[in-house]
Amino acid sequence: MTPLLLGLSAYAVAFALLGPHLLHACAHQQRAAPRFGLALWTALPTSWIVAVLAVGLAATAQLSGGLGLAGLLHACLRALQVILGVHHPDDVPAALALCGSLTILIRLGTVAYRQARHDHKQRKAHRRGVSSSMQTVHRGGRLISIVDSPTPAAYCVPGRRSAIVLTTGTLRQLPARQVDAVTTHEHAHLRGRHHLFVAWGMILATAFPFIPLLRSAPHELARLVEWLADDQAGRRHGRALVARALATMAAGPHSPASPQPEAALTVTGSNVLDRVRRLIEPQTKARGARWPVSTAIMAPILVLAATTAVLLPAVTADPAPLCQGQQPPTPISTRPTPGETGPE
Amino acid sequence: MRNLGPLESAVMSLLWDADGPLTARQVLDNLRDRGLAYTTVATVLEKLHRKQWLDREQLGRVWFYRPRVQSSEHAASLMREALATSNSPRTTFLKFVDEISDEEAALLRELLDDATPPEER
Repeated sequence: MTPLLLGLSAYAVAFALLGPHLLHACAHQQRAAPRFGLALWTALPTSWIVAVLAVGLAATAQLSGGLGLAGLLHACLRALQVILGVHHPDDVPAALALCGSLTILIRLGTVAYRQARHDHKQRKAHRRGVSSSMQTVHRGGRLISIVDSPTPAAYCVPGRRSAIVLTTGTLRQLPARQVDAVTTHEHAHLRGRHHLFVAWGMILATAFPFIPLLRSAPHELARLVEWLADDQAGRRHGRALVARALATMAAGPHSPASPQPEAALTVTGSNVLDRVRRLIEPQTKARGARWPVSTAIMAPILVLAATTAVLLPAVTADPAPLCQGQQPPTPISTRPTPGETGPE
Repeated sequence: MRNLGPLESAVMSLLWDADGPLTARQVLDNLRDRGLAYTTVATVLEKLHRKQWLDREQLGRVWFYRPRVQSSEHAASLMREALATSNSPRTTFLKFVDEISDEEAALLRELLDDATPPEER
């Protein structure tokens, strides 16, 4: 079990730093097949978190005497005792490992909750303020909401009450076929639940911004879901058409027809040129070195296997000696057991 | 333009749906099921006027209120605000495309002109 633990720790350290390089080495394949890229950029950061948690929990279980999940709970109590000043130096490493894992879990949970609440509030405000005065039209079998605004804009609101929103400026400035391409793009986001991928990347990056692999995840994921939706719109309406729709929409607010330019949003450095280039350049088969791809595919699978291997004994370990030691009222517990190491 | 509170937006949507300017008394009558006091309604109207949501005009001793902006303009400004304040990369709303600078737009046009055969344009 210990070599596995060491392996997982090594993975966590190595991929925290080198993961982005490995994934950028597969850039060609991701560009050709964004779905594959999406899988990689979801699986690798996730496997990293899983590996770190597995190391922490398994180390706790081992250091606390190999007594399994019950041992974990016991170690938890002892960790509290350590904090409260009960001195038992043997318990300190286990307590530290456990506290580390719990900190990671709590941090993830807090960030996820905060993000979900933020998104929910924003979408609710949108529903109350914007949706109330929108008209809805049927277009190509889809329900589209129209906001009366000269600025061309198109977006989708994911979630339970999902919607595709276009402005009247979009309808005025874009030929009908390009409008259809735009709605197909947005529909692809909604159907593929792309917001969940980006949200998961955002949660990881917000929770642990000092890990390079996690920090770069949300931007990569955001780019990949755009590519994916572009491809789906391109398959249906032609890639050149999607490219032209992108160009018209992106340049829209600078045209004299719309008096209010949007100040925000321009700062992040746009990926519009890259998206357009990708749509109009001839589609190539994936090329480039093979080994980064196989490494990127194998790593999360190995991590999952290793995690199962280290945590399974911890979960299924027989906690009997510990239980006996922990429950004084039962007659059997009165005699000391060899596995018991707790402070008495 | 900021978001409105629940009572404020109720008053605003009432005025948006109304055919002409309304007095505080008329607003109160329309929101009768809320059990509001006259002074509450008058205060809300005054506040909305101060925040530039409403225009008002005095006829005799009574103030008549009407919306300064149309509800569609309000919705559009809320939409812009929502898209602007949304985090980046965005998870709340997924936008088709971000705006680009003029230089980038020029580059983009060049790119497309090169790529598109003339008969397809």
